[in-house]
Amino acid sequence: MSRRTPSPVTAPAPPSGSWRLLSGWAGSGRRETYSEHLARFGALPLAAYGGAAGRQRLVETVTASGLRGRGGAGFPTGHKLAAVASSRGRAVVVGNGCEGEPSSRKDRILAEYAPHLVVEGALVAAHATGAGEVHLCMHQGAPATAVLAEAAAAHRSRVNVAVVQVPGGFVASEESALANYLTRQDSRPTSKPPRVFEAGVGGRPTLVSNFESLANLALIARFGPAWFRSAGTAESPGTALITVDGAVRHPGVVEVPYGLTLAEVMGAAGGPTEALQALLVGGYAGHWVPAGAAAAPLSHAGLAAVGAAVGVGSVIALPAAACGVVETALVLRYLAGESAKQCGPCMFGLPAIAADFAALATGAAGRDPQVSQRLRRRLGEIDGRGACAHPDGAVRLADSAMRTFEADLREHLAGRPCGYAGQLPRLPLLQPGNGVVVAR
Amino acid sequence: MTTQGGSVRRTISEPAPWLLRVDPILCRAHGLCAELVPEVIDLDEWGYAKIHGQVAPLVLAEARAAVAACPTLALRLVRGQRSR
Repeated sequence: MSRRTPSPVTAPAPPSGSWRLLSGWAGSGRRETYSEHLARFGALPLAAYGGAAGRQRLVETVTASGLRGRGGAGFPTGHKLAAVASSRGRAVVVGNGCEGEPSSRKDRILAEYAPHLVVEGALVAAHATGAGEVHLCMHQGAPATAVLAEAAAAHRSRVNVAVVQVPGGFVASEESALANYLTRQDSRPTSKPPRVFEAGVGGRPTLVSNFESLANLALIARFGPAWFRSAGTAESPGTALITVDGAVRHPGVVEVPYGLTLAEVMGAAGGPTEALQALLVGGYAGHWVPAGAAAAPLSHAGLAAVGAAVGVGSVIALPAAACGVVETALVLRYLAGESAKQCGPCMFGLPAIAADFAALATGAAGRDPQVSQRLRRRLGEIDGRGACAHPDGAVRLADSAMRTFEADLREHLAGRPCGYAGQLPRLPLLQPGNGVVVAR
Repeated sequence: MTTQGGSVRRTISEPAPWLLRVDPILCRAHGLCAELVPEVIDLDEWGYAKIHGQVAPLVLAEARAAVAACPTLALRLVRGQRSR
């Protein structure tokens, strides 16, 4: 063996167990330095994917891993890389760590505790797509931006990596809104077509990828698809960062393999503190499911089977001693307020369904028998009619609430709101002082 | 067309059907389109255009008129499979 050939014996073993992205934090209890990071994971082997053939092989490696995007839609990352790589023009990579969804904290945790994986993942994506620039986006004032900028500076690469602070707000982190902001400082979504993979930042093909998706790329480039698939399920491989909140003992972010049941995921956060009524899965633009659905596996297929979706990967436990109708009315009001107010069905439809739900919540609907039918009609009318998916998210939430809290809704409609309707909301970030008015 | 086992099979695919597409950001609820081509467009309760179905050949001229009449240029006539 030549002395210059790197010995495989000295290459660190891939992380085993369910801590992968956060294995550095799990191992040392703190954010590791760049040299500690390299000692743990080894160097990023981009040289092994040299030239056009190497880049193609990198895209194929990601596709074979089955990695699905972690920003909400769950689209296969390999296909996204291929689409950007094959579009005309020099590509741009945008890392999305904005986390406009208030129920999720995983991306800021990742940026804070595993910044080098995020930066390396962006470099992997840039290599695969031939991009010359990377923008790592977080919301203005996010404390981890400084950590991320420091990490980016430690990496020597010909690719320019910039950490960008974009304005806050729910829809500002939508992919076309990010491209719009990076192009002309307007953080509102734009109409499709074109999609960002065809014409994004500066009209160039743009990969917008969630921080967690990028961090996984850094591990897949090192350890390969077979290792990646050794955790999770066949259709949802790998581990997931899940924000567990609400009535659980230790609210926070956990890393778990896909395929654990929702009950097991809550168990990783200490388990429920009281009897549960329902779970809000996938974010405020996600789905309510009854507490009995906690036996469903947290995976794309497992959640689809109970009428939900992975979304941004948050699970919020709603106790039995709470009113799901009131909670939903408040989230809908929040979502209506977060509309970019560009598209009619969103700017008028979301306040309208929020008002309908508020009427249900307060019992005022008891005097207006039309409200339930009107709400149903409006949900069907708004769905799919925005430039971005913001109205669709509100429709999903409202629709799933009407199914999950059906019995409760009947009581509200009959003018008998439950005894919990008058108490303060239990969902995190809807409490007073968190930007949402709770007076009703 | 080729004949295969007695059945006639199309080998040249027909062009995709005509569709009207509305740009939801540009649409300002003027409502002229729904007047001109009610077969394909109606208005939601706030007056914004809602497209349903394809543009049948019989109303293609009306669809073109609607595209031309839109004050905010929010309507487009395209060939495709899916409307939104």
